[in-house]
Amino acid sequence: MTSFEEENILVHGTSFRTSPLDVREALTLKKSEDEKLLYKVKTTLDVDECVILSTCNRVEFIIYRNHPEEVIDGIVKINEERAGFPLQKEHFYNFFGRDAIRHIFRVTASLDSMVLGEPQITGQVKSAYESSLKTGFIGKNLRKVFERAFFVAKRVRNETAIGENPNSVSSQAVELAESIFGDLSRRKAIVIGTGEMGEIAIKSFLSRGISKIYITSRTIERAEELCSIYSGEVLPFKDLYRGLEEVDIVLCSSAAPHYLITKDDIKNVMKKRMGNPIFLIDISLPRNIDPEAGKVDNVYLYHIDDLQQIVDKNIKKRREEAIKSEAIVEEEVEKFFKRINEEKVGPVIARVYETADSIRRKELEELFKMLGNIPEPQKKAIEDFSVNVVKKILHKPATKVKEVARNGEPSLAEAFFALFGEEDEIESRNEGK
Amino acid sequence: MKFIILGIYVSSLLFYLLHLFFNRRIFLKIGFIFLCIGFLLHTSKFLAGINSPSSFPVYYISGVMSFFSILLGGVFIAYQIRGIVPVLGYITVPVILLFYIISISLPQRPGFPPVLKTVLFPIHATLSITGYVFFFLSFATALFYLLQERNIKFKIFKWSLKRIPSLVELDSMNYRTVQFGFTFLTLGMLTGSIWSERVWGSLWNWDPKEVLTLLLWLLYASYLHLRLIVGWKGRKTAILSVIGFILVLIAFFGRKLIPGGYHDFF
Repeated sequence: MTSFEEENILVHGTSFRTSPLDVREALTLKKSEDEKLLYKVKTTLDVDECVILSTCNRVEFIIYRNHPEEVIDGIVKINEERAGFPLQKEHFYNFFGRDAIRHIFRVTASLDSMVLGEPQITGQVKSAYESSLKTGFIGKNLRKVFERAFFVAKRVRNETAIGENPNSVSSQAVELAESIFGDLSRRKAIVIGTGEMGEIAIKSFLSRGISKIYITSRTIERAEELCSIYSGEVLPFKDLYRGLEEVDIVLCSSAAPHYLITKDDIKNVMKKRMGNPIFLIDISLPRNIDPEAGKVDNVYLYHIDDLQQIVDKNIKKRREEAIKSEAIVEEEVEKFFKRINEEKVGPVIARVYETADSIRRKELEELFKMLGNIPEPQKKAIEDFSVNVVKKILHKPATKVKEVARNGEPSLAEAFFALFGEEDEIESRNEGK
Repeated sequence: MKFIILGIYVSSLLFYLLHLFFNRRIFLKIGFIFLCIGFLLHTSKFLAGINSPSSFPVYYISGVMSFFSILLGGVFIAYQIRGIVPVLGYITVPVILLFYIISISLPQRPGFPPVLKTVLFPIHATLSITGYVFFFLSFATALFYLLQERNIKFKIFKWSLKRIPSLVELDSMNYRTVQFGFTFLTLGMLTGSIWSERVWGSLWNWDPKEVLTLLLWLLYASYLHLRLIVGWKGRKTAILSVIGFILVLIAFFGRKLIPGGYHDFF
C-alpha cells in the first residue's frame, strides 16, 4: 500500500452553517443505517476508506481514495435517495487535502460547533470513527488523520479554556449551585411555575443527579404533568414556605405579577433552617423574588439578568480562547503533513542503503578473492571499514533529504534516489509515472 | 541536611505557585510529592535529635517553630490524601516553609531550667501546638470561604468558581478544624496546668500568656456555641475563625512583647 497522499482526502458535507434544518434532518443517519450506508458508499463508489459523521448539526462524508472529486456526484445521488428530494449544491461544502485535514481537526476540537467548545462533538466523531473501524472501512490513512484529530482536540481542551465556562443560563445556574453545595446528589429543589425556562433548568439539575424536585404551580394539572415527566412531587402552593425550609435550591419561573417571596419570608425561613445556605434563582419577569432577599446571610439570589450577564462574558472568553485554539489547529496541520512527508522518504532512503550495501558486499567478495588467504581478524577489519565508509558517505545526504522532506519538499528524495539508487529500479519507477 | 530540606520545601512551594498561576494538575501533584519528601526528612531529622523527654525540642523557640512546621505539614498531607481542598496549599505550604526558615535561622538556645523539664511539658507543648495547627487550617479555610462567598454573593467572578471548593465543603471543614483545634487546646491547657501545679505549686498563675490563651479558649467556645445553638454558619463563623487566628498569633508571638510571667522562655 502506498503512503498517505494529500490529494486523496475529501470531506463532503453540510452543517448548520450552510443548510437549513430540514435538509440536515433528512440526511441524519438513522440508527442501524450506518453500516449499510458505509457499505453502499464503499461498494458503489469504490472508495478505500470512509467515515460518516452525523450529528444534529452536521452530516459529513470523509472519503479517502484516488481522485476523490470523482465520487462527489455519487454521494449526492445517494443522499438524494435517502432524503427523497433533490438537494441544492450550495447547501454542501467540499474540502480537499490540507483544507480537509484542517476541517476535521476543527470539527473534532469543537471549533466549528454551534455552541463553541461544547464537549459532545469529540465523542460523536470518535463513535463515528469507531463504527467505521469496526466494519473495516478504515485503513491506515484515515486512521492517521483521526487519531491525530483526537490528539488535537485533547490539546485544545488542555491548553485553552475553551470549554471551561458555562455558556447557557441553565448550566451557569447549575455551576453556581455546585459552587455553593458541592455535590448535588443529596440536594432538593422547588420549582415554582411551569414555564419553558423552568423546564430547561429542571433538566440541567436532574442531569447533575439532584435527589428530589418539588413542583408547585397555580395550575395543578400542568404541575402534575411535569411531575410525571421528571418524577417530581407536586407541592401545593400554600405549602411553599414549609417547602422553603426543606429544600436547598429554589427555581422561580412563574408569571405572577408580584413578589412571591419577600425579604421577611426569607428571614423567617433562614431562622428555621439553622443557617443552612439556600440558592434562589429567579427567572421570571417581572421578578418574583424580592432582590432585597439576597442580602440575607447565607442566601444567594440570582435573577435571570445576572445569569445572562455572566454567560455573555463567558461566551466572550470562549471566543478569545477560540483564537488560541485555531493557532493550535494550524500548528498541528503543519506537523501532520511534515510527518507524512517524512514517512514518505523513509522507504526511499532504505532502498538507497540497500543498494549501496549490495554493491559493497559484491566488491568485498571480489577483493577477498583477489587477496587470497588472509587471517580472520584482518578480514573482519576490512569488512568493518567498508561498512563505515558506506554509512558515512550516505549519512549526510540521507539526513538532509529527511529534513527537506519534512518541510514539504520531496523532490530532493527523488534526486537522492536517482543519484544513489539501483538503476533498473529507477527506470521502473520512471515508467510507472 | 538543613539546606536539603529547605530546598525541597522551596521546590514544593514553587510548584504550588505554578499551579496557582497555570492551573495544571501536574504541578499540584509534583508540589505535593516534594512536600511529602520534605515532611519525611524534616520529621526524621527532628526525631533523631530526641533521646529523652528533656531533649524534646520544645524548650526553645526554634524547636517550637520546627515542630509547628512538621505538624502543619503532617495534618495538611493527611487532608490532601483524603482529597480535601488541595488549594489550601497556596496558604499552608508558604507557612510551613516560613516556620522552617525561622526555625533554622534562630539559635538553638536552651532557655529552660533543667528542673522544669518533666515528661508532662512536651505533652503540654505538643497538644497546644497541634491545636494551633488546626486553628491555622480553620483560618485558611475561612479565607477561601470568604473569597468564594464574595464571588457568589456579589456576582464577581475574579476566580474561576470551580477552582475553589464549594461553600458547604469549606464551611464544614472550617467547623471540623475548629472542633479539633478546640479539643487539643483544651487538653493542652489541662496538661499545662497540671505541669504548672507540679513545678510551681499552683494550677493557674494569671500569667499574660495564660490569660491570652483563656481568651482564645472562650472565643472558640463561643464559635461552637453560636454554631450549634444559635445557628451561625458560613460567613459569620468564617470571620470568627479569622479573628480567632489573629488571637492565636498574639498568644503565640505577641506574648514576647509583654515581659514577665512564667512563659518567659516562650
